[in-house]
Amino acid sequence: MTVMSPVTKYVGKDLTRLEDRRLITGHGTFIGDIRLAGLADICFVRSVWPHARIRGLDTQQARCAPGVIGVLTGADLADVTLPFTRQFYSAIDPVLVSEYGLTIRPYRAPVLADDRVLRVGEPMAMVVAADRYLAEDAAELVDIDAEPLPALTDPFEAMQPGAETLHAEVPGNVHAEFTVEVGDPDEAMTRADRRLRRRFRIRRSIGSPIETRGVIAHFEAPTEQLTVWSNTQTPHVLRSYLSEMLQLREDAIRVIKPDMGGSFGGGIYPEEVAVAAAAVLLRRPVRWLEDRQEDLVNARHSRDQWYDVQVGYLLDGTLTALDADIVADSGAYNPFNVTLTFNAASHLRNQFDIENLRVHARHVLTNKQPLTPVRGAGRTEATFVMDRLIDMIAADVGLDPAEIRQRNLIPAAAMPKDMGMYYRNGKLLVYDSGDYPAQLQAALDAIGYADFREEQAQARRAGRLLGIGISSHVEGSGYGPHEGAAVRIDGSGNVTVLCGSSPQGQGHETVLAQVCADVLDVPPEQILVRTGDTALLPYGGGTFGSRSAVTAGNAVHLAAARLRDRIIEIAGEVLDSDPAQLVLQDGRVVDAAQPGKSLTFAQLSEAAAPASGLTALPGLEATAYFVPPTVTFASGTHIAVVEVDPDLASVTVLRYVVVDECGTVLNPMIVEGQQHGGVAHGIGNALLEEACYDESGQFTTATFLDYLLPGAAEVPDIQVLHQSFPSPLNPLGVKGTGEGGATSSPAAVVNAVADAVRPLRPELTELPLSPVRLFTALREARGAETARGPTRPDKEP
Amino acid sequence: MKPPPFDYAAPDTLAEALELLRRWSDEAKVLAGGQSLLPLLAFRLARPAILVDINRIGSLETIDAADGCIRIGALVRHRTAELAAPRGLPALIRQAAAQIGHVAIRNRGTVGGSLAHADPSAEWAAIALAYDGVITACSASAERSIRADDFFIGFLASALEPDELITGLALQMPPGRTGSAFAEFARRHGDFAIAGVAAVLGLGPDNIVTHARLAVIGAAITPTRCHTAEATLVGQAFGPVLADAAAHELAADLVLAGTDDDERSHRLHVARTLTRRVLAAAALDSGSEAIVR
Amino acid sequence: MTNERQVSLRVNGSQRTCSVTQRTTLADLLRDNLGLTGVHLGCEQGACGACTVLLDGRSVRSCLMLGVQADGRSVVTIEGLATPDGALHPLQQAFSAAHGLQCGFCTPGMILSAVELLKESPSPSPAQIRAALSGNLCRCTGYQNIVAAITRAAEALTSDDGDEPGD
Repeated sequence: MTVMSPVTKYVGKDLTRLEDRRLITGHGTFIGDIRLAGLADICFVRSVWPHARIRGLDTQQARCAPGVIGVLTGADLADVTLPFTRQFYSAIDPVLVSEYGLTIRPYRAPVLADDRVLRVGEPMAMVVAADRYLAEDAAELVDIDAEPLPALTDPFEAMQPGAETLHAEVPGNVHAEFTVEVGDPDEAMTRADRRLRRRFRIRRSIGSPIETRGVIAHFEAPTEQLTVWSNTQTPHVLRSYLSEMLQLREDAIRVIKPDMGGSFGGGIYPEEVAVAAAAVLLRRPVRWLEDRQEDLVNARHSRDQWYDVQVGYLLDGTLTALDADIVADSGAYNPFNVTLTFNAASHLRNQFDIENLRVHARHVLTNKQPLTPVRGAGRTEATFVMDRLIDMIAADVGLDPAEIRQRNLIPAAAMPKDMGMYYRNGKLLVYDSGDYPAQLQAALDAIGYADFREEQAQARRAGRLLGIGISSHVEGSGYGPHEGAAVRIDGSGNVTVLCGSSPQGQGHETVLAQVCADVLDVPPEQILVRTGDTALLPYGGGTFGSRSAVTAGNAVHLAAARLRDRIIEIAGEVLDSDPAQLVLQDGRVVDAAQPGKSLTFAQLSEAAAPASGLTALPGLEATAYFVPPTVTFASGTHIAVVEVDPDLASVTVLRYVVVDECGTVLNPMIVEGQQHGGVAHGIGNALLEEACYDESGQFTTATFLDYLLPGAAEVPDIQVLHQSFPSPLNPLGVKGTGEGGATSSPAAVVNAVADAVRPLRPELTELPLSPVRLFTALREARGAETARGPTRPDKEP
Repeated sequence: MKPPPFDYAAPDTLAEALELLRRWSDEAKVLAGGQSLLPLLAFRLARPAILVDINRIGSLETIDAADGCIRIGALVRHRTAELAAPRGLPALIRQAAAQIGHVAIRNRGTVGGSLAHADPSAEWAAIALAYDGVITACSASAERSIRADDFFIGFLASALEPDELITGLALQMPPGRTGSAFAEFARRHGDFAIAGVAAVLGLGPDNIVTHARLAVIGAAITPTRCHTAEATLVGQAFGPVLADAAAHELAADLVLAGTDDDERSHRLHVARTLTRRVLAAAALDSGSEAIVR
Repeated sequence: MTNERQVSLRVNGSQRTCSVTQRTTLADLLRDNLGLTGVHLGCEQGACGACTVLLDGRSVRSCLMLGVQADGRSVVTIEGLATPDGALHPLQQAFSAAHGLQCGFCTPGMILSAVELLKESPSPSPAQIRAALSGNLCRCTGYQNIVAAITRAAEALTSDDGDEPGD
């Protein structure tokens, strides 16, 4: 395996992004910008019932409305597509079944609902019309005969005996379940000096990129070629779904991902299959551009878990045992099965040396939108739980949280640390590299933790409540199974990189060019990187779960290295040079022993053409697939300083420090940008974002004035420091960094709030910490304090 | 989220606009700034037969000040009022207008539109109530003056008839040494206020309160003038204790908004907190020697 | 009703005429009738700012205006910021240099709001920048580099007097 040279020319530099030019001039091509002759617009007719039996759909009036080309129902689609029942990344490693009793039950999921609907927003029919305005007009004319049924909106009620069963195959509504056990948690809990029990509630949130979803499909009947454009994170996976469901040969399908306005989770959607099916049925290009109201209801949601946790510890704050029961309100379908909760179980112990763990998790079906892993993906939830517990333990034993953390962090000498369980991929969970105590210290130094207490005291005297909060996390990144890349030199002597990744703003056109540039010694500006198109490579993984720096980066590195070998082989023949003497230098191949002898890439390309008399194989292209041995563990420590106004119950985040450890840093500017964006997302989760259903199952936050994303005034400046422990698990030594920002931020912010309002100890166990929740928690804490009797002379909040 | 079909007219004169409203009545919607109406159309919550676009009616765009009265035309944009410092608009107006949404919204949104929409969090409602505002409403057959105190009759409901158009808002500046202030609290910068308070204080010798207006938005189901709180203030020497007493009286005047007791309790507390703060700021603004904290 | 009206407006310095239905939003007129797909739709309810354009020099949410309302007016979109020979506006340069964009979807609206800000406040503080851009949502950058970009552009603009964009 080729190892990165420690001295790199392009990797590690802040290269300005190559994709910027078209984006800053408004010439990006997003899904809504693609023009095709004869393109018709689709509007989905969606359920207004959380749960109902559908007796009939009358599309007659809609079909006669102005500009309508057709109205398709589930019955129409059944002619061309199978149901939508396949599970994502459904390969379940048998070790999870044998070790943890992992159970996943099947269910039937339609593309368009037919005889019943299981959630508000479930798509039932498609109006295809000349434009979206007319399609929406006609959609209102579809008449649905529905018999509303009681809706399950509470997962605990859904698990009760006698509760309605949503899917016949899942009696009791527990779709997926496992129990992880490490060590002997019961024994360790009994041995602990003290135990703390809490329930944590992380409410439902939405990935909500600024661009909504969109799909264009064009089926050319004469050649039976289907082209689908979709702002998907996984084009190859989408192609494989379409092939299976539409029963078309895989090679007859091309999935193209255009420029993409962000994406933070999602998966493959029934709408994508429906639009493709409509193209096949109608034999004309069709387009669905989702609007924001649709997206808030129908893009998959996330988080929405309860954690009933008990933690055992000694009087000096040493953690001994952790026992958690997780319930995930998983909505009407659960295509991601246990990804969220297994991530939570895998990351719950955080950076701490806890040898005894039990996590029991259940995904419960209800009449809501299903869940997907969204930025942070179970780790955010687990980190919130663990780090709030640390804070509570600190208060209980009378020590500073920083001290509790230092006491429990896995020391550098103990790395790599086998955590005694299997990861979701069936491999042993091992924290492969890092120095967590040094990371914490770096964060404490950067925020000025020691001086803060004096600042805090002064502020109190002036009537201001400031607080400081710490959170750390680990992140298993670079998930497999693989990623692919091809690197080629074309007839003009230019380098092109083809990659199976599917970036949504992470700068792959730049970063992957930097990786390739280091191997071939060509300036990155001259390297064209193409991604997100199934025509580029036969296999591709996509971009999600902080995987692309690891998988795409290394695939490009390996492919470029193979190409370099080919270049040297061919150049050696052409120049009649000893291959061992050939080096790549500024876009040329040079004979180090005879500097007069060299070839430009253009000359090489000519020489490498077939029929040019080479004994070596023709062509200047190499392909490589990187198969990560397992995930590699990145980590981070965050510290937030907040101000609380106890009367308004407002929280302002004033200062923020991130120490991020992601191994080799490919482009520092891009890594920091990912941290900034992740922290902003986490601040949103901490204080603002909440996707709500009422008791009857109606969705109540379907506008951007109800579902609140943080704006520029809600996010402070974020100082990012790098720590670097190159991963031993890949040639570049990289680890993922896309989600760390969103993983520790809710915990850091809420811990800071808890610190600001001491000596009051409000129960801050819920996200988001809205003003009403904070207000109520403070009032209850004051009540509890009064009951205990005031003892402190300090000014009380 | 495309609007449903509607007919559209863009009259050049007030008379033409009023004639359209007379003819179409509650099937017509007036398009002024569009910052509230266009979203309603996008969500298809409003389905007017016709939009009457009044943006061409230049006579509605003026601001005049004379005889202690400020007259603001219905088409005056929020941004104009926000930046109108040179014209000497009181602090309250500039502060309140500056907190309406975001810049792009303030560039288009209008005084008349805001009042007619009657959102419980409308900053112009606070301004109108704080200055004994009188709203001029015209129809094809008549013109009438509606006191702001009588204008906001329910949740998103005003006293306007379907065939009436707001043409202007008249604000009465109190005589003597006065000060004003506005503050609101929202989840994010620019969001609708959870609660907002406008205060106008007149202070005489020894800081005796000669004039008090306290208007609350956001916390109740309509913008509300807090008469009980005002009565607590008048005739007393201003100071933090008096401000507290006035804040306490808000409960008597506000029909609190909120889906549960915790939310209502929070809104009331926020309104009281802001009341203390704006009363202090208004006193400071008056240039008085009142102790301000 | 699908009554169509002629709309004649100045866009990015050129006179354009098109025919739109009365209910077509200005955003859709610009995107679909005039092909200016740099105007992005993020919410269609005026809450995200992605569709921001300059109308007679002032920022407006083009999803909250009807196309017919732009008759006789002047509009500048992101496509109108660079000079005809392709030289980028200092804000465009600064956004790239400071890594103030990731996916680029909020960027046109963000930059146009910044154009207005810098015209009115040539040297804004970071807090002023954040307040002025509070109506432009970004899910990728966390805003910090956007603030840095605008600060950088402000310095470039105050040190050289440029022409108004897209007149």
